[in-house]
Amino acid sequence: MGHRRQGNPPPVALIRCRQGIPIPTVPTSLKQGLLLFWVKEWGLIQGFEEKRLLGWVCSYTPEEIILTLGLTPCRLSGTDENQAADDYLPANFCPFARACLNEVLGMSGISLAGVVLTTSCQGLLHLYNALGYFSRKREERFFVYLLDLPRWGSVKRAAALQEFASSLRLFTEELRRYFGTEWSNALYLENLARLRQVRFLLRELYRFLREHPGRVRAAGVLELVRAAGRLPKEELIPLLLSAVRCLEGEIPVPSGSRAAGLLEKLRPRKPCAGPRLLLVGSPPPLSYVDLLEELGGAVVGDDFCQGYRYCLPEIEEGPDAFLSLARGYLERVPCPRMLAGQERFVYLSRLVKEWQVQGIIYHALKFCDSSLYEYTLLRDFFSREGIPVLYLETDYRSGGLEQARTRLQAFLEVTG
Amino acid sequence: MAVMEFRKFLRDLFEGEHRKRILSSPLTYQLVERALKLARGSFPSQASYMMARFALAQTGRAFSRRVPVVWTSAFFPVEIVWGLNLCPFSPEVAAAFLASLGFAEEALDRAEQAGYSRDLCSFHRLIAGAALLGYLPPPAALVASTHLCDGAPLLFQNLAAFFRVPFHVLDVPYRADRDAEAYVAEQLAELWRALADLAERKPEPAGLAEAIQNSNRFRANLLEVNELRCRVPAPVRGSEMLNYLYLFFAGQGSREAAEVFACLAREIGRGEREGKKEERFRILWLHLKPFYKGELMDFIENKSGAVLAFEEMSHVYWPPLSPGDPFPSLARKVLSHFCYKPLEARTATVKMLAEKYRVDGIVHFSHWGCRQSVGGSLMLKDALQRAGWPVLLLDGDCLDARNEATGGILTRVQAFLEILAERKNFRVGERHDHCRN
Repeated sequence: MGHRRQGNPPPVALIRCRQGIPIPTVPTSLKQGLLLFWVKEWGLIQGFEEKRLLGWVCSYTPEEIILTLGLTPCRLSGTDENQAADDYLPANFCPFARACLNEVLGMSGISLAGVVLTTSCQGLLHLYNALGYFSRKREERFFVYLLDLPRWGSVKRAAALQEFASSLRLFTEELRRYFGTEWSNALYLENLARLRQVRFLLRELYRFLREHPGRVRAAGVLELVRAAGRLPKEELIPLLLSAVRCLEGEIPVPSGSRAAGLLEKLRPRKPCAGPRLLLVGSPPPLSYVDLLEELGGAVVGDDFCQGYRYCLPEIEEGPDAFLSLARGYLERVPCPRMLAGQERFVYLSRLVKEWQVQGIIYHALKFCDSSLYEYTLLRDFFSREGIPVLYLETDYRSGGLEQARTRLQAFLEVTG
Repeated sequence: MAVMEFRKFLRDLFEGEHRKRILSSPLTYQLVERALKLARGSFPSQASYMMARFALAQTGRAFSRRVPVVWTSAFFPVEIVWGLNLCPFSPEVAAAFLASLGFAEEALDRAEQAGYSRDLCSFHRLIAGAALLGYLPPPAALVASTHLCDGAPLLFQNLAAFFRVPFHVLDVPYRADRDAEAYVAEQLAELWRALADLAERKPEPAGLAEAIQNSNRFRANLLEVNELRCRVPAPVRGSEMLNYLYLFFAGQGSREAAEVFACLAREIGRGEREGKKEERFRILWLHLKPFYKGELMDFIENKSGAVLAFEEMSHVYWPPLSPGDPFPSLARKVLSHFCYKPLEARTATVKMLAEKYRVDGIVHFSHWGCRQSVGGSLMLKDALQRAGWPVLLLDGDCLDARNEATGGILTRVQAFLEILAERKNFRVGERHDHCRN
């Protein structure tokens, strides 16, 4: 980890924490909290009792490691329900990093034991700084960790693989030391299998979405993927399985069950028979996705780190767990930050053909360099392919929805 | 010909519909170099004259097409390029130069037409626009480092596609342990060989060793300058030092860059560089400055009585390089940047510089679009203020004058200087009280 090295300041959270204070757990009598909201929404409150929650953000964070060390991964997706980040990160800075900071600082009634971030971009580097700064000021025991993530698309791949594998080893070592837990190969293999199942079932849901775009709410699928990063996998798997089987018509919807609740959330608000659309870029506010469907756009898939890309890593059971994890995560379709423009466009072009996409909606978060630079290349690439691209920019909030309505309407008319 | 007139001469030369042809002709730079000789006496120092000549000669060389031009991003260890005797070109410095001549708007507009958002760093937008307009020498390859800036590697990727040339990345881990050092060193060695192949040259270790030695001389001479700058009044103004950006971003590894700072050290040592007799306020300046013609720097250094005693950019943060072990030592240089570490490292460096240069206050120029510098600015300010330093976060833009609200920015500076004045009076009062007791 970047903060464990000679001659440099030691990790903020690790030097200042008061030893001996029990690691926060989730009390059973929770009344509020954003995380609780999610948990309640999906009817999975039981799974969170007495868990040690470790927040994570980037889709290159291997949940397998967190789970194997007895912690519960809890993916942060940010909120604008408070403005706690204002004291730490400027207004003209990554709105996603700010939203995640709001989420962590605003959590009431539920406690994270820490957060792991990656070196993806300056946004996450400063989120790491902000969390460290916050916990130091409060003198709270809080695990803040930054995982080195190589640029897969642009460097020699064998070296990048080894680099990421050593980065994962250091992360595991630090987790073990901090939380006093042990690595078990058997448990690792168990978690590997669980996550494989979760990803497979989510991909099935995506398959259903592209085969029957009007029958599943795309924003609901994205919500479910976000929730999958924070819900106990052993409870999520049967729920996903029931939902997929119900959607496929293999079994009737069991009334009053969790699966029924989930299917209710996936039910489209309005049938959409417009052009088939692929969503690309930074994770958007979900209200924009709903709006798109409300206007008749048929969303058939996405390329978001909080969406379809979460479902893609294929981890093999190799002799070296860390090398297998490094390979599995890095060999997944790269994100724009990886500087693998051509590889991404070839992949996206394949999706466009296979999924019969008629138009692309490119969403960029304000101040997100990765998306803002990728857009110009992507637009030129797909204009040569004859696929129209609509550029949408938001600050990760639902504001500006009405202005977007007109642009989306016009785009759908042209594309359809 | 005074410096201001020389700038006007350049502006007039490049003005008009033939700008592209004039800017991209090597003859232009020969002509400008001759004109520069006429203006020699009007430069604030021999060092700044040498720097201008060096930059012009290199730009002319870049446009000559006689040697492969390698675009390098800021903070990329450019010694690699000098070691192969290729022509390094820093588009970020070129962007600052174009802005100083008043040509930013045209290039920025062109970039925006091409889809580059105004929320991106104006250095990179301007480069994109200038490249599309044909104002920059076509590269044979582009190399960018990933530490300290997300935008440069992403822009270079786009421009490599535009120019249809190779793009190489130096991927720098955040941690600085042995594995990280080996990973960076291996990439540097690979890059060195790739650039040699590109130029159809055999990579000569002796050439690289020479560049490393030049880089060490650059470092030693800069250290000497920095030590001399502890003098009060400040012998060199920070705004002048920030004009040496070319040496920092493109010169390390060249003989000329080392000589410029050797000359500057001699000038200060001989007492040829006298500071203002009365320094009302000594400022530590963080990040860069506006390079376009605006009122801010003139107001601070010529009207308000303040002086930029030192600037973060000139701090020597890296250890000496080893000519016999070039790649690991360059890796250590890259990994040791204090802004590519937990924020406490930057805070500690700034505190150290503030004490060393006996400043009254610290100004952070928050360049719109710089995620690295601006991202940590609120926490940096808080930490420095807790340590007793007055800090001003000054929102602005280094190149895009459209992002500057002149009145507002000057008022903020003025208010900050008033705070510094009050503190000074209070401290003087405190000292008097102490003496009376």
